[in-house]
Amino acid sequence: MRISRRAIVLAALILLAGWQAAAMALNTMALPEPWRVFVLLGRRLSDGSLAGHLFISLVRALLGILLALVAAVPLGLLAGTESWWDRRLSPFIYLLYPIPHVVLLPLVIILFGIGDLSKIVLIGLIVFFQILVTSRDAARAIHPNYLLTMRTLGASRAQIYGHVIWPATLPRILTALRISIGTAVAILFFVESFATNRGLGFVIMDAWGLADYERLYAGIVAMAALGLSLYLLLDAVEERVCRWTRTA
Amino acid sequence: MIALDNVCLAFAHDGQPVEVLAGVNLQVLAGESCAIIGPSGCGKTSLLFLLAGLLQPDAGTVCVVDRSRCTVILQHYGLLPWKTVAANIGLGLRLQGAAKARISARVAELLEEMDLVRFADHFPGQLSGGMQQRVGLARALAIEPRLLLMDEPLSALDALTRERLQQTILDIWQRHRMTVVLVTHSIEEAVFLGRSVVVLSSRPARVAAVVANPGAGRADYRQSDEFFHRCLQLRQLIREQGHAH
Repeated sequence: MRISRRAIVLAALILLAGWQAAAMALNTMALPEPWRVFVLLGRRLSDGSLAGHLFISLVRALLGILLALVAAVPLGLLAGTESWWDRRLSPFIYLLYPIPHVVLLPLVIILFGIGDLSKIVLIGLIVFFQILVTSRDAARAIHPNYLLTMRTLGASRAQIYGHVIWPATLPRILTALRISIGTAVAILFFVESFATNRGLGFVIMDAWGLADYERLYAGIVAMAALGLSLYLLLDAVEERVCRWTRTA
Repeated sequence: MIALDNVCLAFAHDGQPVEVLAGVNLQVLAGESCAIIGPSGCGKTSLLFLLAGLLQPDAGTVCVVDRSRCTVILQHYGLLPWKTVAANIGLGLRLQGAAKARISARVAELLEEMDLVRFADHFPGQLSGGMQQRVGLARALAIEPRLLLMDEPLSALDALTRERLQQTILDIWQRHRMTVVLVTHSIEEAVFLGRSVVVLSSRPARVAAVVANPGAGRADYRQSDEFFHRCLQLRQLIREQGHAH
């Protein structure tokens, strides 16, 4: 369903009004009024002291998601299309998918160090399984007539992947990605809350420790904006590549 | 030319082999049209897939002379919904690696022939069922086939659209002089389009009867007594198949 722009703006205003009302009712330092937070956010962004953190968080999230996509989509499509691969991959997916991958953090740090790479790998690892399972199931669900049609037209295996399997599964992969973005940003916060002094997660934890509540909320709002902008980016991609799904 | 000699085919279902075709014999001469009719689930589609080379027989021989220039139209899910009408029509040529200019010229020609010019940039989901099957026909014709195989191409359409498209198929057959094999469960459609009509028995399918139908191909055939009597004759033959089981 397409949500109108006006309805989104209205919902944002209602949320802000709720925040304002809660801040006035509670009257505590721990929940500053939204306008104070936004003023601080504006200042921190314009003087550059927050922009760097926002940028590094964005890069970590994007690279993690990209890493997951590059690894998961080909494997998922292979498993969903070729029974040879399905028989060999699916038992591993079955065992590994339900594990809470975030507990693998110590292993990831041992393997990839405590720098940016381990943060990106952990985000990638968690998104990987969601995309893997979705792309496999989406490839399995392709109606066999599409493949039969391609075979009667003399298509090669590569052509079948390019003309049928990839475009048929793309909408569902993008939906899985949409769901994964929430997870990715949550993991981003988790991996940025230690062993780094850069990123929005660090800003939030640091401000919390110093009881600097306005900065704490400015960090939270920036992180929310990060997630939202990834969402908008995905909307734009979907708009471009999945025009046909609105016709079927 | 097509020649099937004592073709047998079985599928595994829950580990048990299920016999689908039990010794089917069939000949269709080049440039002729043949309609295959029989009770639903009797193995008509399997027979068509054998002709297309999508299935291999367990026993017997399948000889299809123009296999390399054969094309199939399916009842459902034949068009790729993520490609526009023009891209769907040009798909076969594109897969063969034809030059872009040649593809667009041929697509333009077929859009014209099938009266689809205005819909070139539409997606299949935006078209009616009848228009979708016209796109399917256009795509089939794009590669200039010698053999056109159709699996109940019109059964999802309303009666009027159906008759119009039957006429279109007839025109195409006469204009392009190819071999046409059509699977259908409609007696009228089989008699209107097939210069021979093959009646299959229920599963496992054998050829129960081959009815010569030389009137098919005449524009006014549908209104003739001959057409009416042929339909009666076939209805009787098919009913006998029902009683045999």
